[in-house]
Amino acid sequence: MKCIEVYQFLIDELDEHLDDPSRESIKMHLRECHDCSTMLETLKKTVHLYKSQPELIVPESLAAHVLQAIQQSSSMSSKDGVQ
Amino acid sequence: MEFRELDQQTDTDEGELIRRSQEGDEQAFTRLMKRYQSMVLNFAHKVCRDRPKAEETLQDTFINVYQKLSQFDGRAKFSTWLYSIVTNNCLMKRRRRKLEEMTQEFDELPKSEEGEAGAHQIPDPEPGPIRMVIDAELREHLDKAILNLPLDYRIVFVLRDLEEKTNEETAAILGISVEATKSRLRRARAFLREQLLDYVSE
Repeated sequence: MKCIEVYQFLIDELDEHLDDPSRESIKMHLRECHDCSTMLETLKKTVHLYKSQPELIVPESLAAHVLQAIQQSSSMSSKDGVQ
Repeated sequence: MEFRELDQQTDTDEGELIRRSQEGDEQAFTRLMKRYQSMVLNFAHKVCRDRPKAEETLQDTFINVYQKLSQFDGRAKFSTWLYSIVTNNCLMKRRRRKLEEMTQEFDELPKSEEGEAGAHQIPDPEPGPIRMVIDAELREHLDKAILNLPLDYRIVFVLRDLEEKTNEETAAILGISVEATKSRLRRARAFLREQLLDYVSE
């Protein structure tokens, strides 16, 4: 199997379906090819870096602001005669 | 209209909350919003990498949801419908920003002090000064890398790799084909990996 074929698989699937028996040739290639295994690792780390960013907490005041904005927009719509 | 305080009843069935909201039950709408506000804020933030813009997107999104909820027919999942509204708001903000920039250039006004979108935002946490410097530096690189990615590609990356949606659901949210989704994801992953190579290779 050629590196370019492995690359195509990795960029599409990362390692999602590597346990599928039909992927044995890719697994074998990865065991033997340093470049391709590095490629997989760096791709996974890239995604992991973004995933590991902390989630934002929604402040209580924000929900209240949103509801207020909805009230304003709906009262403007009714004044304009828009439903 | 007036919104009453959210009561503490737990887990009303989502379909029931939507149905009641469509009938004008304000309390049900409030609860529906509370259920999804974190998802909307975080998704918008992952796309635009800027907290104030993400908060603005959240506000616009729920105004849209309120106005369009009667059109939701339950054929798609509610979250899919919601993601498509957030995505549209992100795209519209970009268009508006571009228009503002063009107007500003036309008027020959001095440039905004903001600089490149989101590059210097990120207040945040607490501990150790060294950790903070490393975290801030890394986040700045993550922000820059993703902001260099065209928005259409960025949204696919966020939906597929960060929100863990399937290709099919991502395609449904964006109204594009599964093939186009895969193609954008491929290019986004390759681009981001390239941009962050110093951080992800030993």
